[in-house]
Amino acid sequence: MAIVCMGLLAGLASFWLAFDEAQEYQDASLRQIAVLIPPEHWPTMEKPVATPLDVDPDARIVVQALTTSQPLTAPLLKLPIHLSGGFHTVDVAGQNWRVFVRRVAPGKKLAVAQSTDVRSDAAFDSALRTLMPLLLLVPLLIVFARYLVLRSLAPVHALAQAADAQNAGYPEPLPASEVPEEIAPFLRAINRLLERVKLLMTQQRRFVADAAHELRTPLTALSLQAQNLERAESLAECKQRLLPLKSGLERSRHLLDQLLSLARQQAAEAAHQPVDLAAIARLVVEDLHPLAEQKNLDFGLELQGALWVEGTEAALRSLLRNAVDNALRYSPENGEVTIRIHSDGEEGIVEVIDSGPGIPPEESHRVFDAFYRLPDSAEGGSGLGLTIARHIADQLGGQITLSSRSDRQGLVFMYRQRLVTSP
Amino acid sequence: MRMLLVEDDRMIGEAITVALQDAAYAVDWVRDGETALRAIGNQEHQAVLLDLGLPKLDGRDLLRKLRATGNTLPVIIITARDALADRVDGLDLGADDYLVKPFEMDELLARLRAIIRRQGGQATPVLSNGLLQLNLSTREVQHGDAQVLLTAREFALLQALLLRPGTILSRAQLEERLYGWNEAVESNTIDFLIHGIRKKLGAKAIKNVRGAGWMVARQP
Repeated sequence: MAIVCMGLLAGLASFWLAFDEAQEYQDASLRQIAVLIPPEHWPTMEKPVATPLDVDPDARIVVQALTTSQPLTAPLLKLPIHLSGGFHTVDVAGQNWRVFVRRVAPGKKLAVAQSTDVRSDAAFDSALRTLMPLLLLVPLLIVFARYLVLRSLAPVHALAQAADAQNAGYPEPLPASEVPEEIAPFLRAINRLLERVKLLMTQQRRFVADAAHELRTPLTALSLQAQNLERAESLAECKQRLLPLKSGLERSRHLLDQLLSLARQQAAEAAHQPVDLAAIARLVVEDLHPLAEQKNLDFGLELQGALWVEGTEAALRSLLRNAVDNALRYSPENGEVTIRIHSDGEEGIVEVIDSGPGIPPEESHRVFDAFYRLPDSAEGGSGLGLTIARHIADQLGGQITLSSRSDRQGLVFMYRQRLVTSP
Repeated sequence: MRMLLVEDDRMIGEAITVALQDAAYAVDWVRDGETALRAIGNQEHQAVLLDLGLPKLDGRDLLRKLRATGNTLPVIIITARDALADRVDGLDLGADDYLVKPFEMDELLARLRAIIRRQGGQATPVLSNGLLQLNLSTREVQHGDAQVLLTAREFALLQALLLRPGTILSRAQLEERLYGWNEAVESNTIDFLIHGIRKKLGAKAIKNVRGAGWMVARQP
């Protein structure tokens, strides 16, 4: 399409240029003739000179005097007498004439005229001659260009087919050979994306396998506990053996809850809005107070008023809950757990401080892994708490750091997130 | 029979302990590999139930160390790792059997009996010295024409004696086989059990050697 337009423009331009050139040529010729004839030999009004009709009638040149005093009686061309010196285009009896008027004295003018037809013809011929090769080449150009484009795009087409043929569950990088240079950066970017997707899918598969494996432990316990219950020989023994079974069910429920929570976090696309950290903390304390009471823990909250961050209530509640849950589980009986929320002007800071064993430095990078529990860990944990918290932090743009207490043994879980203005 | 259970999960450990005790085994339960190694060194146990994912010393390493010293104590691996490679690896490391969690207790007990049978050079699930035939699965004793059912502890005691016919087992040795670390043993329990067995099977079933202990007669 572009080539056709270009061709048309080229044609028009060359026509106009040829026309202009032809006109100049004609004008030059007329002037030359006018000057060539000395005034004393000028044809008189009564006898204008014109080339005989049998010599190229279209190109006929007429030379005649233009006097203002004596009107011509039988001029060849009825030219207007008042024409000034110079070039004119005059319509005489329906035909266009180009006229050059040479003025030697007032009232004494010579007109040299030629039909514009010849000029137009010349221009047309010239233009055509210029245009002809162009017209021939344009279709060829189109064909050739098409061929080149198709050939260049063939590897891209092949890449598209290769991409379509891939197994969506196991993406592999696309072959990078023989692609046009212009496409190469794009292809590299696509391949990097595919690598990331492949990594994500591998991680996903591994997580599913790990989750299935993790579920075996609580299930085994439940199975054994149920079998033990079956073997009970008295009502008292039944009741006694029912207790560990209920405990086992609770543990399984907790693990499933955590798995669901993690899955929800990964899928979540909820709209973010300003959330008050202090309000979240109060809710979490309410939720987990029974657990703290069971172990006779000193469970406290230190707030400084409302602090607003961007997120969802569910996500922040889950994050804080998991941190506090860990703190409560790992603290020994009669220990203490404190939630402290404050800000440094730019960020909201949530600290969960416990009196448990803390995290040994060599384990610190592994604690966020799914299903990872510390080697000497307490009961009932799913190993997913910090994994979920880390997920949420990443989604909300916050940061989690774990450090040891400086005053005594214990862990400080710190979460920071940028503050927003209160709604 | 006294078992060593090596399992780090609290609920599973408790449940297996109860189940084994129901089946008349004495059970000692440890929760990490290092403690297990020390316990095995005390030579109080007839078999080991070994979980693989242990803190401090991994189950596989424990087994490797055990077999490296030439210890042939029967070991059954109990684990959630079910891949073929894991099973082959466990057995090749020296385990006598490999059970995948979750499992039925009945199966575990049957495999345990099979292993102990093998250790005793036996082919059938019946322990006999010619006079008494003790069925290890049903806890029934055939004595002449009579078929008698024993209680769990009686069974355990008679089994201990029938495993070594003609050998005298002292009170301490019998107590060691019947009770775990956490069980309080009353001082006359063994006498009480022997009395109970003799009531069911006749006084001649178990011989008492004054000051030394008890035994069952060797196969005539």
